[in-house]
Amino acid sequence: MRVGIVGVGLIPWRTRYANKTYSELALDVTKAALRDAGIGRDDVDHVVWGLSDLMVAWVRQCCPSTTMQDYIGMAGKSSVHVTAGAVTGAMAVRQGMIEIMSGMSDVTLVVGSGKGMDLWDPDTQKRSSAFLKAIMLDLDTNWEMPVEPLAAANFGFVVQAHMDRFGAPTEEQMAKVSVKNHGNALTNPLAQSGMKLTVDDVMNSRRVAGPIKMFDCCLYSEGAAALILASEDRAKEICKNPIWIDGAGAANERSYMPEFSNLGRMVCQQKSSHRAYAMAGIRDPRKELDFIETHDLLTGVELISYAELGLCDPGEGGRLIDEGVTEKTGEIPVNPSGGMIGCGHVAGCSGISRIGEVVQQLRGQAGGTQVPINKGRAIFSAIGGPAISQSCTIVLGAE
Amino acid sequence: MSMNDLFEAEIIDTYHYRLSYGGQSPFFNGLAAGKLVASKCTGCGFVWMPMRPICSNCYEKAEPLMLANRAELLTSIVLPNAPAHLAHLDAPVASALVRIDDADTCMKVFVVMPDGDFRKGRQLVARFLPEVQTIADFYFTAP
Repeated sequence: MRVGIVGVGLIPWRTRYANKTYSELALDVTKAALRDAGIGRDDVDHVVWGLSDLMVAWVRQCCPSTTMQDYIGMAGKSSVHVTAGAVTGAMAVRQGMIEIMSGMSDVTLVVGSGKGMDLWDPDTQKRSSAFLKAIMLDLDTNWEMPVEPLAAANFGFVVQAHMDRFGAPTEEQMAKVSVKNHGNALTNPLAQSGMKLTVDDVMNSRRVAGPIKMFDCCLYSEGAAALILASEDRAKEICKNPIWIDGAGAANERSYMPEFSNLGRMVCQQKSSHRAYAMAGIRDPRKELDFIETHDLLTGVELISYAELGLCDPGEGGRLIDEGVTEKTGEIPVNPSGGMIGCGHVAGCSGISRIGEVVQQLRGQAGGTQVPINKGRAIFSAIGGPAISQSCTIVLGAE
Repeated sequence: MSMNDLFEAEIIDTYHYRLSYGGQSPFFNGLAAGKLVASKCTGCGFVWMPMRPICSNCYEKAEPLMLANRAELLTSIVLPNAPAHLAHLDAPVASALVRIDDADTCMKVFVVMPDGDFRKGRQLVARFLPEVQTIADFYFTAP
């Protein structure tokens, strides 16, 4: 049985939605997704919540799905709360797919929202420093957090280890990713931080730690996103152009003590993508995909992903950005939406939002970010967890 | 609704912990005694550092094993500012992955290098702080 995506509900990324609670944001995108699908809430059998584990710290709520279920008008229906760090959104979509493939539901709503900027640091009189402190709880609190005082260092370790092992990428190559993704975001009305930058702008931005500078980092944001998934028969009834989930793969690796052979690699993403490709029958992703959306938490991480996703060999990601292969007009665009560096990111709903952007691309409805769709297939690949130890990849296809 | 109409409350939640390290307590007892305590699996022989009482590879019992206080630097992220508890050393500090001699795992630690040279492959020795609460209370440095 195939599972189709028949509705997309997205709202712009913002630094802070002071005028909305996380439940209100979830309601907004739920209504938008139902409207896009042309169905009502009574048509939904089941709800999958993609909500970050960090909601405990962000909004003082351990089980937000139970309160939000009522607020979005889905009381009485079954639901499950998926949480997996920054991979939450993609895993929620995978769970929605499983729910339908199992025959338990015909129509499933996958929804998430994230708000981290209600936190407040009285010492710095800022919200951002409190938020950055809170997200450190996603690390192993005994064996990692005490010796990693900066959030960027956790993923930065992988980038530095990749540089040590393969001699690449260079900081200039990383800067090119920042220029690309901020530039792509300029044409995305949902993006929080579209900017026309130069490599020098990035290189001269404030150094955060090691090779990581401010413009190498993704944003922290607030937002929400929702998708309507349906069984093959229902999807065809609901709309003329369902976007099919052709493959889904996930993997975990050791977190705070990576295996020596994995240093500088994101093997979890290699495994998740290859599992998703196998399910979808994809042998050469560079030739069979129109574009890729991937988890650019740092510029260097996007370059490492090029290899893990099968576009090149490990250590060659920098060469691809030098050659323009992954530019919006290149052979295989990566993050034409602007990615998390240009659009925004909050663990939980980010993956749902990015999959929504892929759906709109495959429908030919992506507006200014639209890339040519010739093969009818694309992926979103998420990475996250302590030291990039978890990944989930979703292959999507038009009919 | 205008921003002026929003109602914001200041809420303060404070949690204190007296955290048990459970079966991994021998590692921290070791730090307090100036020793690095790993564990060696009685089944497959894998050496876990930090120690685990049960081998995650084969589920057999792992016995405590003292390692020499030496390590090799694998990779590091140099920090813009030294953590407060290491500031008295007046030297550059990095969050680092190291391979402690004879361990089959790598470990995240602080590395302090007075010469600022954090090149991969540098040999390191452990130094222990007098008060132990977390793994931040020891570090590696040049011999």
